[in-house]
Amino acid sequence: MGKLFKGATVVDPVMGYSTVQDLLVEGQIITALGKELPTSTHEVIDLRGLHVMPGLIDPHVHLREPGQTHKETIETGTMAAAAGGFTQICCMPNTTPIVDERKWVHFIREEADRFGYATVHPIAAITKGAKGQEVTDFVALHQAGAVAFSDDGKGVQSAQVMRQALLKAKQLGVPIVVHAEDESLSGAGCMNAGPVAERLGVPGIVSSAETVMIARDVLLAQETGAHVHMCHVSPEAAVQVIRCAKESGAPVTAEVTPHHLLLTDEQVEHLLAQAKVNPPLRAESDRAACVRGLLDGTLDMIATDHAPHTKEEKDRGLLDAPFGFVGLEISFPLMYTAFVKSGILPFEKLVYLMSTAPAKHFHLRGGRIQLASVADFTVVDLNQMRRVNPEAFRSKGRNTPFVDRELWGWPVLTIHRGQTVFQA
Amino acid sequence: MVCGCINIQGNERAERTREQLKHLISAKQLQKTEIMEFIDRAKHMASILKQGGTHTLDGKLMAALFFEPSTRTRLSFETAMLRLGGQVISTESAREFSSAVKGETLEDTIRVVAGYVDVIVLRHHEIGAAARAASVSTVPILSAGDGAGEHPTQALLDLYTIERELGHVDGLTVALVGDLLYGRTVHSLVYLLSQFTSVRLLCTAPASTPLPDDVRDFALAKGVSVEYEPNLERAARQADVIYQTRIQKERFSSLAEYDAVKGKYVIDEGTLLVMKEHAIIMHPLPRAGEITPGVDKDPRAAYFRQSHYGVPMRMGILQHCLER
Repeated sequence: MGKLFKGATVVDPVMGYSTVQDLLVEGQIITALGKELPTSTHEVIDLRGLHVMPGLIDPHVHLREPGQTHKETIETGTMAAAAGGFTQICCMPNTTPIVDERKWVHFIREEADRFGYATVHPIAAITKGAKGQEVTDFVALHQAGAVAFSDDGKGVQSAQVMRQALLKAKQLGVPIVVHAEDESLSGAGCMNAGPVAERLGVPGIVSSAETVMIARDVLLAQETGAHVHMCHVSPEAAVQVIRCAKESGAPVTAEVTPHHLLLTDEQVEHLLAQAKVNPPLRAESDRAACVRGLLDGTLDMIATDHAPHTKEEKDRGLLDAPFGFVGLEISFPLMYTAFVKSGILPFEKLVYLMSTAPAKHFHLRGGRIQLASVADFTVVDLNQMRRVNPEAFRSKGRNTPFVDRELWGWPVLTIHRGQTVFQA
Repeated sequence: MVCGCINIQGNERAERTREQLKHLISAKQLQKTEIMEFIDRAKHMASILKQGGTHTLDGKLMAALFFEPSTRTRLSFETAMLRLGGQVISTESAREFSSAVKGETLEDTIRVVAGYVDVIVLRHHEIGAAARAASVSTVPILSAGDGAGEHPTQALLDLYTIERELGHVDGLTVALVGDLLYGRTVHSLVYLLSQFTSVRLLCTAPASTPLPDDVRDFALAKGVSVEYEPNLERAARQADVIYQTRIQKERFSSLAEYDAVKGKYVIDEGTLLVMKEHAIIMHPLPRAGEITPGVDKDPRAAYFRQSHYGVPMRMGILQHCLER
């Protein structure tokens, strides 16, 4: 009959507490939730000593399909998601071609549905070809299943184009997801501008390249009333701008990545291109500001910005290698180890930041384990320590600066729509 | 509360932008996994119904806004909402609303009613009405049929019927009988069946009311085999599901033409003799002579059971679109 998950500590990130409960799953639906449910004819899965949390949701993933299948495919990317405890992910449109027509939105959803490892919500491009000039057909793309719009990978340079996009997005009630980067400031930089870049003698990217555009889009959000979501916030000044924006009531949300919370540009000195990411790893003061922003609610959620590249691409050296890290398979243990195990964040709040908050702001299902809702959940073993081993990744990408790090809180079982999609 | 440290103020402000709503406008919008989610929801609701219902939608209000009459669909939706502990306001004569008579647009009516309730069930006589309603509504719109367009909740309950009666959908041969041009339930059903694998459709229809080209092309593009089989007996021999629809007299250009075809598409005891043992006969009802009463007592006559499957399916749909 059904599957009875017994004896786990079930996390309720909305109420902020966890209780030992049994979960009965029939088909895709949680049909019973409570203490000591009768076994009846159900298949019993013993989860004593483990934690069950709502399936994690990542608002920022690069699945690289269509067109860049040497880096990742929808199949390998969603397998990686499942292994990292994510049951829903939003994928970015900077593929080949750019996701600016409804057929590509359909393609992504159908491919993901065919494999079934995770639910994929495509984010469509703001402008045709992500060229920053002509706004795409938002209504058609939204009807096809796009949950948000973004030219991620590039900033929309024209304020006029961005304003036009915000007015359209407001009509549909969907967020515009901002990759903030003023190209006249970022230039050809390959890492954070600062003493490390100077020592290495490479061009730097100033913080203002990001902050200037965040400030601009805050003003546009205020003026239009459209929901603006800031991607991968990294500099201290940007956190301050977003904090002020929220205080003044602007409809703004923001995400931060584990790497911007945990690493600084000092890493680039040792790891070179393996620590090359955009926005770049910043100074310690920026990193600390991101952590403060996360704790005080200025930054609403965690996003991995999972950006797979081949080894050959990442080995091209600091100047020429592409930007980006993979993140799906290690983000939860990274965050758990650094923030929960150390006592900075309550466990339930981390789950809120990695599931409930993205569900809420991107208007997705999930984010909480509820009776009669879809069975998307992740079982974690908080006491299991393992080192990060990229060779074991499901993702085609191995590019991470966290190699060999000792982490706790690994997912051991992921249930997506009632199906086991990952088991350690 | 642990999450109290989240900046609630900021979150609430962001939420003030219009929520992305869970409308159900077209069966085309659903993927296989989502269709199966609705079927699993309906199964769960069927077991809840056995216990007399629940209260999960306590405090929620549904409007059944019907611009053309359909007592069956309306009562089924209302029953579903009441069994979930919600409440209902309802009209079956929205077309004769004082406002509609005065020339109020559908969009304005929806804007007003959306201010009263948490979900609107809309039946309308024009194709595309549900999408127009959804474009202005601040609450979910569930289409209960728009003109000769679509009827997605009927299609979901039809699929639920097939799943309950036959145990699977993949690999089935489905004979669509009768008026396939104007029969909107058929259009929505074809969209849903198209998501499944190795489905074969037999179109058993008069040449004057074929399956519309866009519906047929959608199915073909999804890998469904679509065949024209005008002979009911030959179709009945092959089908796992016979989906009968009403042939409406007013759709024909002449009475002679109507008389010429109507007798060819009647399911009677003779049809039962050639049908497969496990096959089922479905009909969205009401029927008008196209299934003779003598068929009713055969266990393969599934149409009354089909009508009962509507309540748990619509409970599942309401729960889906109203849950947080």
